Amino acid sequence: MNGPFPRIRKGPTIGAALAVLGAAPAAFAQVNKRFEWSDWWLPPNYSAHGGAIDALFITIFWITLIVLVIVQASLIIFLIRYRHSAKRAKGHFIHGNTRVEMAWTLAPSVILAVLALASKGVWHNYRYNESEKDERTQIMVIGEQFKWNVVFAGPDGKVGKYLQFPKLSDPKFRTLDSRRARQKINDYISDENPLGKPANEKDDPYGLDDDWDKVPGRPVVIPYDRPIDVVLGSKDVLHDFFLPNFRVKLDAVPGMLGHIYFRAKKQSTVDTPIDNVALDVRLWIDRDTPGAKPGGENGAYLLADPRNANGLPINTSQTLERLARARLEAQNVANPSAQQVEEAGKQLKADLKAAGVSHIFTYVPFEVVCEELCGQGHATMRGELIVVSPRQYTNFIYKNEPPATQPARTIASSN
Amino acid sequence: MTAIPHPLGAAHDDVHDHVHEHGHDIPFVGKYLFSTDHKVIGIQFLFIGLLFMVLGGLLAMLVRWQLAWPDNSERGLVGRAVPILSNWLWGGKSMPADFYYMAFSMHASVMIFFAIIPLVVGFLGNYLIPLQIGAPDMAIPFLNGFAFWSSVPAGALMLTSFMMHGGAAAAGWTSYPPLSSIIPPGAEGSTWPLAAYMLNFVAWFACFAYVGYYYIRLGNRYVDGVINIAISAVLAHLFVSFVSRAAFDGQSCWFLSLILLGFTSLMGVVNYLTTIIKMRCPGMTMFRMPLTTWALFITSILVLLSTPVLASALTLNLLDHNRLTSFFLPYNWTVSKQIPLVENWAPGGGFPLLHQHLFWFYSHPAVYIMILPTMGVASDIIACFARKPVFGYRPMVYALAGIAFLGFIVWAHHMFQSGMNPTLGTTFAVSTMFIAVPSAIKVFNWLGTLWRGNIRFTAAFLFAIGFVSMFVIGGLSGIFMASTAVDVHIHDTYFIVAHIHYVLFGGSIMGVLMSIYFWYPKMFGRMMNDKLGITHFILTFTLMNLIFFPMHMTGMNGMPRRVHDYTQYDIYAKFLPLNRFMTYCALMLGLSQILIIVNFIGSLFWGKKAPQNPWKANSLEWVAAPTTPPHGNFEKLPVVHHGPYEYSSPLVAEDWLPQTQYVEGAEKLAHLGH
Repeated sequence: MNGPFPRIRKGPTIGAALAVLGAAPAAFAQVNKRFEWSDWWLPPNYSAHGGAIDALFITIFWITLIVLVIVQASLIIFLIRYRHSAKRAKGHFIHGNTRVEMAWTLAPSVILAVLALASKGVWHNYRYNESEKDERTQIMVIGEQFKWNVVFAGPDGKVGKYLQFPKLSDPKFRTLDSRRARQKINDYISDENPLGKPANEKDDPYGLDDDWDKVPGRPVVIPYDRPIDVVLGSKDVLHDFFLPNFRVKLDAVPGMLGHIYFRAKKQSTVDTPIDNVALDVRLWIDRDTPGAKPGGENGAYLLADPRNANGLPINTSQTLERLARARLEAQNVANPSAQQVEEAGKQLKADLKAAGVSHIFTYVPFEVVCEELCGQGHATMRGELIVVSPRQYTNFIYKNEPPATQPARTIASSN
Repeated sequence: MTAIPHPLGAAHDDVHDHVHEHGHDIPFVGKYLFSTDHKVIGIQFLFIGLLFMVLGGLLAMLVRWQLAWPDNSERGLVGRAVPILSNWLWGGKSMPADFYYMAFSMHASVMIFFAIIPLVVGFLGNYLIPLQIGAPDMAIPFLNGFAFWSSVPAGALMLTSFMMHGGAAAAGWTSYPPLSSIIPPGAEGSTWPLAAYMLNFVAWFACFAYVGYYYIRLGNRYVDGVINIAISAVLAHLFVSFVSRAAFDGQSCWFLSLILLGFTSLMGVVNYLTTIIKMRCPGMTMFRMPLTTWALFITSILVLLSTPVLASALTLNLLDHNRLTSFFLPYNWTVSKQIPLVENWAPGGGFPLLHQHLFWFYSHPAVYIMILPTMGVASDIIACFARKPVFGYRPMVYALAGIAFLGFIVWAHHMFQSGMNPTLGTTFAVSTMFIAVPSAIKVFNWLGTLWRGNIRFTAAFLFAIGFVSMFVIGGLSGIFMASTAVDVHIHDTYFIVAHIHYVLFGGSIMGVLMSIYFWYPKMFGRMMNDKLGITHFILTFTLMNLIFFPMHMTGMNGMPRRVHDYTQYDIYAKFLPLNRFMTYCALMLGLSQILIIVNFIGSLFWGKKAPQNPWKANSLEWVAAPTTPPHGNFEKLPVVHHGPYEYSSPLVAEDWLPQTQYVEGAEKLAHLGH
């Protein structure tokens, strides 16, 4: 009986296996010097609905972990306990047991049914939540190879119609021959109307006050702790709008609009003492920022770009370093050295303090990830999300003008 | 027992009575090349599947290489370029994005369609079904051979896509439109037109020559041969010309190749189903069949019902790609701020999600097509080496059928975040949750089979245990995705990559490896070196876990799959060392496969001569067919008296009881409830 079956020397085999298993984590620790345990778990959640998703994840994690340990442990125990032995000439002759089969059919069924019900609740709360329907602030995000277009709803809180491009059958183009008509349409799309706003403004009452841009790549700005309705569209291929820290994900599909609702529970903009602001940290500057007030209160447009002294810069990538460089440029210093920039930055900080600006809002944006393969430039399809206070958001959508007449819906109700 | 007559008449009539007359007078071409013998066809599928697996494996190495050393010169880290390829193609620089997307798209396509499915369905089905049910051959041997030879042009077309100007398909193995509908500028036409022509010509030539070999019968062998060559060459030229019109770039080659492959799959499974239903030997009832055959039977039904849907999805997509129709392209569709400038074609009215529904209607059953046969094999091997009957044989069969049925109504769980109606998501979440139940039944029954066994450790058995162990991990991680809400976070991340590789590498590929170790003696008449096999198992098992387990962690952080430079994102740049570690392991895993190649080829020449039944197994291929089985398989038609798993029966002295051996009361014992 032993003939065809090889004899395995257990010692060396188990020893080799343990050596490999032991060496691997050691090798890994050697390779990964930036290792942190928190990297091996879910990233922190900053949305109102995300907690339920995490709780469900953790529930499934513990259930599956217990099952995994039980199954793998019994597998190993059986392999050791029931390995071939000359004493036992035969295995136990049994073909099955109906009761046991029933038990291990019903037990997983019950557990899985509970999980299915639980995830239905969480899912519907995320996708179908109607409770704040009227208070939602809409933001339209339109995927395009390889940047995100962002449209901010104006004071009415609603975005208009987009992605309606002219057709060959439109009266304007019908009379032209096909090639010229296509050429004309394409020129119109790329030069005048890349987001496809309807030609007639009457068709689009919500879209009149929207803030849209011909060039894609603006960051998404949303108010803190307010219900958000992201309207998701795409111009060309499938994209996927994913906010890892907010447990938000949906594909952007050409030809249809998706909606996701969430509430951000962490603000990106932080009020920071001016001394603690590093030169390369991005600044949130609006009409509430001291030192940036139109009319030169406190004597200076210190935070304004000297080249653009009339307008108030809402420049989402402003840093002290940029301002310092702009200053140096205004002083005709060409190619400033790092040291010169640092000096100018110090000077700028001192001037700001002198002008009474002791604090300023800084932020680190969250990242928007595209999770759907969208072509060659897919890796560069990185977007930014900035969560600002409702007051800052109001300033932002009113383009720093004081809200002259009260809009239909008040966003600036607090802070 | 009914045998369907061979279409060519005399050659196979009454094959059971005249087995000895065959096998001697068949010329070389008919015996080894254009064979209608299911065993030869099975081994042909084995070799071609393994060749494509090597190609798919090398593509995986390229993917891993890019993930370990992405182009990150801006960050001041040292990027390392791929050896040889980099100097040849990219001037010593690291891999461009389009090449990376092509590499992983083709890795998945080649592995799924040209390695795993041909191996688990083509190889296992062809080689084992007639042997395990006591049939002399397939019901329709000619069609069986044609299924193999018509898959060769499909493979050639897939390889041709690498020779296109724009490279092979780069829209993922799912080829979602509208990305797959875009024809990048300069992608059309072949870089090496002559090589592309020759490759396809040879493939089509072989396909037609196979038919001609059996149907051109003028009486003189040499005249037949010349006419066959001439006709096949003309037809091959015509077909290549036709194909080159429809398949003008990498993506369209991909579509057309898979459409062709779908047809060959259908021809194969029609044969399997007919054979299993009509050609079982006396006494071989359905519930006396080994679970491998049961699994292949159920898999065949899956293939039969789902492949036509894939063919329709791909045909529509190919038509869109050829700028003839617009099934998947909506109005207001632009590419690079332009509406497409193609004469006589204006896209509009299509719906991108339609493709996803059609595609997954096939491709979700396809993952069961890839795993069910190996589940059957695992049951056979575990019972054999635990020297115990399979615990719960009938529940195992019902579980297979349950998985197959539920497999048809879970497809949209791939689309939870696709923008489809969220209520539909809930429906599919419920069915997806419940598909875990039959999977759990199978796992518990495998454990039950091991319980109180008398376990012999061989390479085949270790791979079977590895299969069970890895399938458990892959199955449990599936529960996370089945939950619509949790899927919000992990969809399209490396969590999914980890899951699919636990099921397809830990499941299907381990299944293929255990089948090779187990049936090699029967196929080639020699034993493989078991110690080398066990070393191979330990390395494969350890390394695959080290590669795929950390992917769960990166996936939980949301790291996107299908991105060539994740260091663009601040939140994922920190996974560079972890990815590098996985790549080192992947390279070692690739190298460790040399062990099985050495073992496979070495044993052909220097292996110990295999006895008829080296593992003391019960099923017909071991107890009734000689090693190696001749044309017609059995010297004398076997008669079966009981099920295939009567190991350690108290009725006989040995711990095995061949299906052909009659023992009073054995059948009764098998049906006792215990």
